[in-house]
Amino acid sequence: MHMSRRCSWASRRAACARGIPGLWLLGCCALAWCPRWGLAGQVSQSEPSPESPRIVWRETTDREAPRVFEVVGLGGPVLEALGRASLSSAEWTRLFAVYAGVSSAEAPSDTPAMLGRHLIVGDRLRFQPRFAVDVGVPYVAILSLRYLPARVVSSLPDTITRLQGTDSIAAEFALSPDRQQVGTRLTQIYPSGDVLPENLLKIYLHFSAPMSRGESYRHIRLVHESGRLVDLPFLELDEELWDRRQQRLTLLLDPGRIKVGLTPREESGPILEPGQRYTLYIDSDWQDARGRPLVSSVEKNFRVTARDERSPDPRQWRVNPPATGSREPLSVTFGESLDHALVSRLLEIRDHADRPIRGMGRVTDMERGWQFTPALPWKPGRYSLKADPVLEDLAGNSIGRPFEVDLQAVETRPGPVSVLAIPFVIH
Amino acid sequence: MMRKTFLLLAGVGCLGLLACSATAGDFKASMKAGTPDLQSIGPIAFGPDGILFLSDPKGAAIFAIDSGDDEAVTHAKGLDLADVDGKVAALLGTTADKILINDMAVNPLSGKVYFSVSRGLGPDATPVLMRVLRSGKIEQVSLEGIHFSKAELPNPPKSGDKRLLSITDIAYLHGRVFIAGLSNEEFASKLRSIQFPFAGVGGGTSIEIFHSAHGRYETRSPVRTFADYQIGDEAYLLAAYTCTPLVKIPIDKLESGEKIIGTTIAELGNRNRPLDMFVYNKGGKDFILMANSSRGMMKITTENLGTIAGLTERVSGTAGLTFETLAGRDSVMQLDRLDEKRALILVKADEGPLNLETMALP
Repeated sequence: MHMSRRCSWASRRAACARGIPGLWLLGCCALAWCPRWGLAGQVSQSEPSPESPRIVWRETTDREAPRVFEVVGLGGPVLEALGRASLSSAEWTRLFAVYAGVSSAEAPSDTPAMLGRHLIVGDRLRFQPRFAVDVGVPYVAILSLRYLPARVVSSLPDTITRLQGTDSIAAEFALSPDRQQVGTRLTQIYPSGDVLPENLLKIYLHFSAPMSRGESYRHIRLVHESGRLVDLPFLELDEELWDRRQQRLTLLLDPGRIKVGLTPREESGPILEPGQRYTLYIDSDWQDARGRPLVSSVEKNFRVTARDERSPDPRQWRVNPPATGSREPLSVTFGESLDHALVSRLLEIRDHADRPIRGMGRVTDMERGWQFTPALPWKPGRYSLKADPVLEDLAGNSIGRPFEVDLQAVETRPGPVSVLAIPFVIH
Repeated sequence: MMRKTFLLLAGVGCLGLLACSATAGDFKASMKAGTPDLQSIGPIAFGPDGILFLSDPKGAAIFAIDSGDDEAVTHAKGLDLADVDGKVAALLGTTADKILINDMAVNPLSGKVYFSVSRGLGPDATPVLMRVLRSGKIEQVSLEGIHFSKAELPNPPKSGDKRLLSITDIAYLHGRVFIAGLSNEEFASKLRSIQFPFAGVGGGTSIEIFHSAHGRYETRSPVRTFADYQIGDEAYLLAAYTCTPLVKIPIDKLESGEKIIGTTIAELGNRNRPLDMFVYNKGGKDFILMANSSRGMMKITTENLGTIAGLTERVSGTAGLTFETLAGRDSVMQLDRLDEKRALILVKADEGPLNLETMALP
């Protein structure tokens, strides 16, 4: 990261504008001071004397408050008087406050001050923000000596008179992003194939680093080969279907336009049409969790085939056992592409006593296959490939139930959910 | 969102339901002092006696906290506050584009407004609970040392799992907490019901709802928001799905855990997502007020709600219960009931800030 500070005085601006790279130098830079302007038009134009108060910010070792704002130069008697005066939270805030998102051009009349605590630490008055300061957000810290409580002023008439002569002071601070860091990329789109069913239900976008939440759908477009933008193809959920690290986003194609007979499909038509080609565009202006755009835009082209309304049938899967004594992977072919996330999670190998075999699974061949490499060499014996019936194909048909079910037809009602086992032998 | 239930119960009397047999002491007796280990914050909902339910999608848990805000107060004035997101962000030391307001709930007792907020847009966003007083002052609700209880949802993601359940709505209905959720992997929309006070760790009952469309029963569609409604002696859950069918489901069947077929009572049009809704009474008649993503705000009649046969044929446009679309309410992001005669809406005009506005119930 990079810290910047701006000051109203030209001489100080030059010093600050040089910038001091790296947060580790914050404390050092904070020793320079940047008084800027007074409140209510009382701009301080005179060079302050060395003992005048000034505002700095600096790093601390406190994980709860890694950066704090401090007033130095108030002097011991004033700090002691403040300590004795038991100021209320409102009094502290009137005296010394930090405002986020406020530029130097505007007075923070309608902006509440940051939440935080006021402390007297050694020879400094400290404001410890309740939340860590953010990269890219401007902060203005304002010391308003006019709001020193009367009980403090009356106890130190001479000192206060001197301080009040310096007027209110303010300083701006900001952390700018570290341009040296590697940018975030979209690394993979699943399904990875380029021939997809008309009733495709899900698309997974994988990223190399955590992304931001809240604006995702704005950065994703589906375009027909004619150049026509497909209108609202995705189910836009405010929550956005991210994984815990926000490195994978699940896009659901609007189920109302996939299921035959539902109003959205009847009125707006299907999202994808067989025989047509489409391009999925992901814009590079989508920001990652650090607020940086993606390294590049990405597009995926695909052709659409007929609907898939059948559940995956594990009886049609082919299991190819490796030789005993080896650590060669066991391979499974499904005969169709299945859901990448679910294949990754819902398949496992068990031994004859139904104990799980340790190893690593890998989805292969455009999600039409799966390989399992054991941690230890294969021993001869009976094994089974276990699949959870929740496992789906690209159209949301699970082993246990097709995506569209006519529940009035008894024979197609979903049965009880159980785990399927496909036995195989390693010789 | 829909913190409508308790008000509704209060409005119509207790109806002999479970919720009324418990007292404030019962509700809070199981709570312990401490700090909830919230990993995230999603939809929130008020229950009885100032108890606020917080959903934690990342932590796969529901927290019931004693907000301490349990004094009944009536307010002559409404609440209007401009640039709520900007002000909340400033208090949290950042800017409005770096926070997300996930949900809004009005405490039916005090009329104070609570916001579920994520400070930050990344995976390390800090979950924060904020509160707007009727004076317009905004403050953070500290969760340190409060009294709370926790219900863990079953089958939470394992470490390293990419699987996660998003929570789309939460409500307290008739002594139970209902949670609508949607997986980011299998296409499984779950409605879960947990008895409150929470009986230790337990995820409650998982409910699968089917509803009719074109002679078929479709299932697993995500429930976006829900409310409850009393028809005679029977209590119903009204569930609005993401593709806007409105479905009624008898609540006693929800509690049995059996597979349920709901009745589609309205098709409110495509290209639209319901956002929030609640039931209110005006002039002796009940109405449903629903905010939508692209079809504005709807005032839906309930006159035929008890007798409507259900829509099973293909519907072109809208059908079922009749409704009117309210003019000038196109940008409502959050909706809740403020009191017997007013609603509170969070409005985003174009790309501008979020404004809190009071509106008379239509």
